[in-house]
Amino acid sequence: MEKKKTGSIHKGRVPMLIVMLLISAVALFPFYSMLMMGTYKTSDLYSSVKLLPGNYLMENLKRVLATPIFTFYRNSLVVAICSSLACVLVSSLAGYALSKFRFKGRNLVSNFILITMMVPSQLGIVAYVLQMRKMGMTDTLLPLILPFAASAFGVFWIRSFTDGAVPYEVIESARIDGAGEFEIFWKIVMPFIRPACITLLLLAFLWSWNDFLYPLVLINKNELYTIPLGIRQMSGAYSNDTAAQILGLSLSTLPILLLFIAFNKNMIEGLTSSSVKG
Amino acid sequence: MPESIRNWRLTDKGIRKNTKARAAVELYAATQMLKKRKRLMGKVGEIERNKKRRIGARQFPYIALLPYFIIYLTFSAFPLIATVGISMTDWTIGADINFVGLKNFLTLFTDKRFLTSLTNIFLFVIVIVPVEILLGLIIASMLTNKKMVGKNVFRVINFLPYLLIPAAAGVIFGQFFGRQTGIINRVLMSLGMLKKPIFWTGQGVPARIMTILIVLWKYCGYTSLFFIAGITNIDTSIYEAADLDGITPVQKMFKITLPLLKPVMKFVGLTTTINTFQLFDELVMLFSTTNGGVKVGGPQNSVLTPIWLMYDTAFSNVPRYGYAAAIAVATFIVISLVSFVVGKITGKEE
Repeated sequence: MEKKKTGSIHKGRVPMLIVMLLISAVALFPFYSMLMMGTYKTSDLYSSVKLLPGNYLMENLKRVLATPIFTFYRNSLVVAICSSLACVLVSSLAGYALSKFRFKGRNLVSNFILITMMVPSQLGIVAYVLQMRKMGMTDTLLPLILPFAASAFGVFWIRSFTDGAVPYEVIESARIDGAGEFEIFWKIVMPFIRPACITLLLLAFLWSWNDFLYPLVLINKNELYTIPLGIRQMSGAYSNDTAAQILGLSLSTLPILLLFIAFNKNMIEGLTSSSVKG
Repeated sequence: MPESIRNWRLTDKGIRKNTKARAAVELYAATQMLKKRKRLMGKVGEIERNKKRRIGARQFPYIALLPYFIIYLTFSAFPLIATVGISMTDWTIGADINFVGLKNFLTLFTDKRFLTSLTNIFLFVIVIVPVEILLGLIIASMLTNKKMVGKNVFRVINFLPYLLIPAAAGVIFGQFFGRQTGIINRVLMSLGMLKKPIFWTGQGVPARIMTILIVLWKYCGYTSLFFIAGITNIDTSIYEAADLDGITPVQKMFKITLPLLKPVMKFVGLTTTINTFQLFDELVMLFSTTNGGVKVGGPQNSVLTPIWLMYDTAFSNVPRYGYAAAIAVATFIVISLVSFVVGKITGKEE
């Protein structure tokens, strides 16, 4: 991409910028299109490619609000918040333990978690569903939280961050001062690993919010549908109002987009200040 | 010197005369004193520690790992193991459960749908993962270049596709790839590259191409983020030293950056492979038909994935849990074998 080492700065800059703009346009276009299509009447939708907003936004909005979209929001929010908090808590405890303690079985545990990271958890879904049925937990939101709480990725993420970010001397001196182990964890270690925790919180929230398979097989009650299930419900078979449906999609995705744009700096900080080796 | 030793020394005339022996005995007595003192101090310290907290540094790691393991073993490991057990039965809803050994696996061996699903998923992984890594590297190199403006903005923009709810992506891209009304066909036809609209969701090859394009769109920004982090972590002094020797930018890329990014590439390769294996959400929405059904596997099963097949077997009109479990186990075995072989090959290259 750098054309010449010598030569004016501008010469190398422009082509790279153009390429980047093209790539960004491809990345953004589906989102833009989604927003635009939601502002038209369904019958006008296919007459031409929509590049400018239409005038049907309010009407479509009314139709979207007539669906139980706020219920879906609520359910997704509850599940995502619980999943991400549980994930960060469990992972940071485990990651800290693996990082700063030498104990018997440490390598065994570490390798075990590593191996489980390579097994897609969805393979056990048949048995998981049957297990939940046996325990009477289908049609509750709890089984949606559990798969995300014990995340092997989370443990290693926190662990490699803790390796680099927390100096052992700090922990030692805290011990000498008589601090309890959990006190050390909460008051000393956690502040040090905040960036990694925030990143993990965001990622776990994302995975939970976007998840489709688990809710699909575990939830049958309409009041407990999460957003992806709501999307399915609003689509094709259940309604012919494509434009309103697409507006619904925009509304469903917007929270996540805003969340990540807002926390963008934190995410990058979390990624770049740790050793991203896995 | 402790009083007891002094007293003893004065009274024992025999040893008093032999200075060597006396020194040895004194030394012995002194060390005994020290040991006793140490033991007492240790006990005091232990009592103090036990008074202040119950969980010592020795027990903490085990307790800290407990939440993870309780949750994982109960709700992830146990179902996985149970799946193996279920795969050896003929469990169907409503009927009795019988143990049938490996019969399901024998049936799977000749099940065309299953074999097609395996072929499809390997096809997807082989095409998608390297392209993802390549594009991710390209984007990352542009976004870590000194000459680039608006790096932060571009970084965020490129990450957004990863955030789109896959089910929503399925609907939106279904619109884009619509036969008559989709943007893709319209643009291609107006550019003269196409005479007839492509039936993306209705024919095997276009369906596969469509799927690959969608997955690439989703993940390229994601991979680029990891590469950006990796490149940023490289010490600039290495580049400065190389500059002194006068190397070209191309050499910089191939001889310094890429080798140093190897661990990141491995990590990214691994995670994107696993992600691609789990392809399901977008496909279900892309291929749902207007009467409420889903064309499982797309046209002629061209985009059937193992997870989709498993879902369809276990949760459709006639749930066959035993067979579905067998699909899961067989898929896992195949994936593991292939990973093992690939790992060996890439290990040899290094």
